[in-house]
Amino acid sequence: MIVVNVRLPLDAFELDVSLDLNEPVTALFGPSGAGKTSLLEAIAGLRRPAEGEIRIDDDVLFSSQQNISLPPERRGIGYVPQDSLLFPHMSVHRNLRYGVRGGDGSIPVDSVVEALEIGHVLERNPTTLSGGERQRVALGRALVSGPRLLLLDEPLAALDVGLKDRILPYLRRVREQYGIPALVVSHDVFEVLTLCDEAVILERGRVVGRGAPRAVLTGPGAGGELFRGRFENVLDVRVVAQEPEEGITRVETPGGLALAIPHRPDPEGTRALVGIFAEDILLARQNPAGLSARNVFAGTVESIDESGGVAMVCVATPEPVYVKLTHRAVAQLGLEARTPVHLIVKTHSIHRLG
Amino acid sequence: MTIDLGSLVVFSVQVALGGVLLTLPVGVALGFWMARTNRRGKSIVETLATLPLVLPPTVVGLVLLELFGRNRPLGRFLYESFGLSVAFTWRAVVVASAVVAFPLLVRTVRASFEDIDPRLEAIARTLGKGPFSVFVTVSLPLASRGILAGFILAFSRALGEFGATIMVAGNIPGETQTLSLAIFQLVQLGRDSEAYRLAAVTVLVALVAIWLAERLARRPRSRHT
Repeated sequence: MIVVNVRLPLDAFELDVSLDLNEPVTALFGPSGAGKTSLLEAIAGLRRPAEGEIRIDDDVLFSSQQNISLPPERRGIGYVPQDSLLFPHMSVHRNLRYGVRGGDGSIPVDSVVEALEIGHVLERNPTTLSGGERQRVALGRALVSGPRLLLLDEPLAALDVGLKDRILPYLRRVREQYGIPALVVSHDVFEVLTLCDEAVILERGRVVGRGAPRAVLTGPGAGGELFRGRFENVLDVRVVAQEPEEGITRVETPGGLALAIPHRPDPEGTRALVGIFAEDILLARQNPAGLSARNVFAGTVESIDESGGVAMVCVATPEPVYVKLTHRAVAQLGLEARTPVHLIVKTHSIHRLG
Repeated sequence: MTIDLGSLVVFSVQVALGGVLLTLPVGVALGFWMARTNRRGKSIVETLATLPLVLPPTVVGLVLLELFGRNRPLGRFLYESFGLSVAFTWRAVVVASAVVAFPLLVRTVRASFEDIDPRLEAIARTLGKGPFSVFVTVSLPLASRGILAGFILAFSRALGEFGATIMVAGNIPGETQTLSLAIFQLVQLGRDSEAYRLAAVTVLVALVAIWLAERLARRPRSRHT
């Protein structure tokens, strides 16, 4: 268990956070300037809180009461900053090796290189890497130092959507392979839902919401985050059948939602992430007939959030799915909680994320 | 007065180089400290370190004479404890070079440390390295070009040093006489053509120094940021 209990004055307000983290991966979510990065820096030992306590299990890293403040090099915390901060005067390989400690708990460089697929850039200078490669190397460098806790500051920020598609699977792989607890700063709904077990919302230095990502992000504290930008439903699926002559691959979620997605020749059982934008889903009251769309599934309306410029309807199918509608459409269809509906998704509206 | 050109050049380069090398560790440490600290004493140290740059060299020489003269506290201490005479010996030339060149070294070094993102050092700390190790593996290599530039600048200044040297070391041919002191003396004696020859040699030495520095600094490194 990681306990963070700190008070730290910032320029415009005071960071006042009291958290105990039990889940493997926790998202720290909130608008920019909410104090998220400052909190990470306090945990990593790069900023000294005015008072409070930070500990991992029984290991005290900071305590104003006991007058303890371990220097960053003795905290065993891997910090991956937003802008990677690779050492520009070292090759990628030397960057990775920088944190080698030897001894128990350290992760071999080779294992990290393989998991993050950065073998082809080892001899390169970091300044020649793409944004995604740079983030992977920074993540790898932190892993090699054998941290007890990973702090990731907006791992997908500053990357365009194309690159985003490629880095998320590595984060998931790291999560599964090394099982290091992580605190991920993000203001990307998609990232939080896909990667994290718990979400904490920070606003002006205070925790204003906390819980399961899906619940927190649609709850009152989220401040309409769902409506900002394009919302993407992210589903974790497994390939169940291939129909190349039809140009489709059949997949299923753990909950049993079956989808037809554009064909890609993966063996059965392959895991993948697929995304469906909330505005790409049609909603009907009756079971539609004579449609070209291959994905039609029944569900019931679970909740309707009309606090933004558009309405966000959460439909319970075997997986919760968000559909973006106009307020007018909600009224015309007479939608309310528990209304039975059908969702219609074209095969080509479903894209693979990794 | 006869001029032995070879030994004059060697002596001048030796004392200038010696003076700068002597102050290099202190200059690098002080430059780093000034680039990173916010302590209150900083501006006082800053002013002290700049003083030799803005004072007339003759004043610097006078102060040095006051310190290192045989009958002054520091000078007497050095003589009685180690048998070292400083004033009016080659050692005084080295000291004068070091003092006048020091501000240029510190300022350049400091600027090159300030150019480094301090967060790179912070990240290195989170990867398990202590402050000194981070300084050696991150700060120093990243500032190396700036330190080299500061070194060359300081060396050039030391090579041309005149005022402080003549105050504290005199102008003793074969003992404390450097290229610039010799040029001065030759002109006074009306031997202008010889003075011009020495001037040309001085220019040559300076050019060689700059060329060497450029060669050392030219490291293949691509920048895309």
